[in-house]
Amino acid sequence: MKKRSIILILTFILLTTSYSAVFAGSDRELLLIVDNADLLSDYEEELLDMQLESISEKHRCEIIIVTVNSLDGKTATEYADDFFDYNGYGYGENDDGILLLISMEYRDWAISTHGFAITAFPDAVIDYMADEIVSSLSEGNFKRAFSRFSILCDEFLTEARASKTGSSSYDSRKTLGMTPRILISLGIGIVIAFIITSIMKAQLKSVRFQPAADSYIRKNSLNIRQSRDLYLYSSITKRAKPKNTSSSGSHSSRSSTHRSSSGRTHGGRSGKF
Amino acid sequence: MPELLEYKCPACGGAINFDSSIQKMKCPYCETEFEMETLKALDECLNDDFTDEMVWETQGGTEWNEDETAHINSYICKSCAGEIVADENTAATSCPFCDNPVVMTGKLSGALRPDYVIPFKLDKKAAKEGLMKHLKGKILLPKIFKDENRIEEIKGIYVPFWLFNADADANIRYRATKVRYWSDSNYNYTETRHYLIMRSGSIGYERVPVDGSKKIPDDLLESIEPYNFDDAVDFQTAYLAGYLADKYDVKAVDCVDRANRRIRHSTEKIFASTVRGYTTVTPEKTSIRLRNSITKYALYPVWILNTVWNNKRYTFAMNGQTGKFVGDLPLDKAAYWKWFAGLTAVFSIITFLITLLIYRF
Repeated sequence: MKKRSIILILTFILLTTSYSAVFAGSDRELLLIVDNADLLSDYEEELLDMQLESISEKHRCEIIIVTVNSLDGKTATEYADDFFDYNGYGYGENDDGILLLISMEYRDWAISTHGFAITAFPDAVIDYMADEIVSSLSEGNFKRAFSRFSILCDEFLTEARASKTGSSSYDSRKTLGMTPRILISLGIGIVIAFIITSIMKAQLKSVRFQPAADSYIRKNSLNIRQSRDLYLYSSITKRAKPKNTSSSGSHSSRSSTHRSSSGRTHGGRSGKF
Repeated sequence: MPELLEYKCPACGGAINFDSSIQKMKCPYCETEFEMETLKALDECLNDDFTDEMVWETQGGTEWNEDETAHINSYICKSCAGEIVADENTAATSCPFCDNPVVMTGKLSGALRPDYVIPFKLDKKAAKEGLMKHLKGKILLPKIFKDENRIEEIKGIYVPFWLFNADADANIRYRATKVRYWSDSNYNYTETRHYLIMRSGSIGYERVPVDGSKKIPDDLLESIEPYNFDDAVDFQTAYLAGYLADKYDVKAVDCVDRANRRIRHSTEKIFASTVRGYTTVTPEKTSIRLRNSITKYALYPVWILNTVWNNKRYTFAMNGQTGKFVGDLPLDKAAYWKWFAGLTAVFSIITFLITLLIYRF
C-alpha cells in the first residue's frame, strides 16, 4: 500500500515536471497577468490570463502584462526589464517574451521585449502597438487596452513566425475600417460600372460631325517647304529631394535594444498615458 | 554705327541687353541668356505674316438644257417646304424628310445642273439589311424597338453636295519644349529647353463635301462619309430614274465655312505631326491660304429610313455607295439602370475582396 502511494507521488512529480519542461522550458508557475495595481476584476484577470497563455503557447513566446502602483524609483523601462529578468519570465532557453508594464503612480507604460520578441517586434511595430493602446489606457479602459495588446501580439507574432527574417512589419498591415472599406469599394464599383455603361450607351450613338477632312487629302500632296526648329533658351529648376522615405522599410524592421541591470539585452520603449 | 536693334525676351517679354561680361544677350528681368544668332533668327520668324486667306471660287454647277428639264418634275412638300425632283416616270407621293404628301409644282426650272453624280450601288434590300445589322448587338437598345420596328419609309435620295477643291498653303508657328530630369544626392533637377518651331508648306484637298440640303441634318450626312469619288460620273438625267433628288437650298457660298473648318483642322493636324521629338508642342500662330480653289456641284446617293417610336422620329441614313449605316438609337432607361446597378454590385464586391487582401480591419 505504501509502495503504491510512493509510486503514485513519484509519477505525479514526474508528470508535472515533464509537463512544465515541455510547455515552458522552465518553471512555469508565473502568472502572465500580474495585476498589483488591481485594475481588473478577478474574473477579468482569469480570462485575460487564459488568453495570454494560449497565445504564448501558440507562438512559443510569452506575453506578460504587469500593473503596479509605483516603480520604486526606477524608470518604467528598467522596471519592466527587471520584472522580466528577475522573475524568470520568457519561453524556452532564450527566454522569448514581451512584457507590458503599467504604473499608476505617474501613469507610465513600458513595453520590454527579450529574445525572439526583440526581432519579432521592431520599433515601428512597437510604436504602432503603443498608439493603439495608449488612448484606451488614458481613458482608464484597461480591459480593452490589455485585450487589444494581446490581440496585436498574436497578429504580429503570427507574421513574425511566418516571415523569413523573423520580424513582423507594420507598414504592410495598414488597417481599414468597415465603413471606408465599403465606401471605397462602392465608389470604385460605381466608376467602373459608369465606364462600362457609358461604352454601351455610346454604341447607340453613331451620328456626329466629322471634324476633319483627312479622307479628302490628295495623295502625297503634303509638301513642307520650310521647316525650322529654333532653340531659344533653357531653364533649370532644382528641388530639394524629400527626405529619403524608401528607408522607412528598413527602419520598420529595425529593433533598437538596450541592456538591463542584469546585463541582458532587451528591446522596447516606454511612455506616459 | 551699326543699327541698334531692340529685342524682346522670348521668356518674359522684357527688353534684352547685351551683357559684355558673358558676351551674350541677357534679359535683365528673368536673367535668361541668349545667343545673338538665336535672337536674330527669332526676329525673322516673328516678322512672318500670319493672316488667313480662305476665299473660294464658288461657281459650281452648270445650266440645265431644256431637253433635260422637260423630263424632270419638281415637287414641294406643304409641310416642311422641302423641294425634291424626280424624273417624269418616278411618281413622288410623300416627302422623304417628313413623310407628308408632296405636290407637283411643275417642270424643273431655275436650279443649277449638277456636275457629277455617284450612282446608287446598293438597293433597298441592302438598306433594310443595313438597318438590321445596325440594330444588332446594342445591349441598351429597347427590345421592343427592335421587335416592333417597321421602317415606314425607305427612300433613296440623291443629296446635293458642294465639293471643295483647293491647295492649302499653311504657315504655322509652334512653341515647343523638351524636358529632361536628373538628380544628384540632394536635388531633383528639371531642365526645360524652349524652342520656336516653324513649318510652312502646302497640302491639297480634293472634293471636300458639304451638304447643300437644309432638310437632312448635316451631322447625319457627315456621318456616312466618306464617298469614293472614283465611281462618280458626269451627270445624266438617266441616273435619276427611280430615285428622288433633293434640290440644293444652301448655296455654295454658305457652305464655305464648314469646308474651311474641316480643311483647317486636317491641315493643323498633319503639320503638327511633322513636329516630332518634343515633350510639349503648342501651336502659336496659324495661317492658311487657299490656291486653285474650285467648287463643284454633285449628287451623292443616300438611303434615308424613317421610323417613329414613342412619338419620336428616328432617322437613319445609309451611304448608297459604301453601305455605311448610321442613326442614333433610343436608350432603354430601365435596362441602363439595371446594368448600372448590376455592374456596380459586381465590381464593388470584387473591390471589397481585393481590400481584404491588402488591408486588415
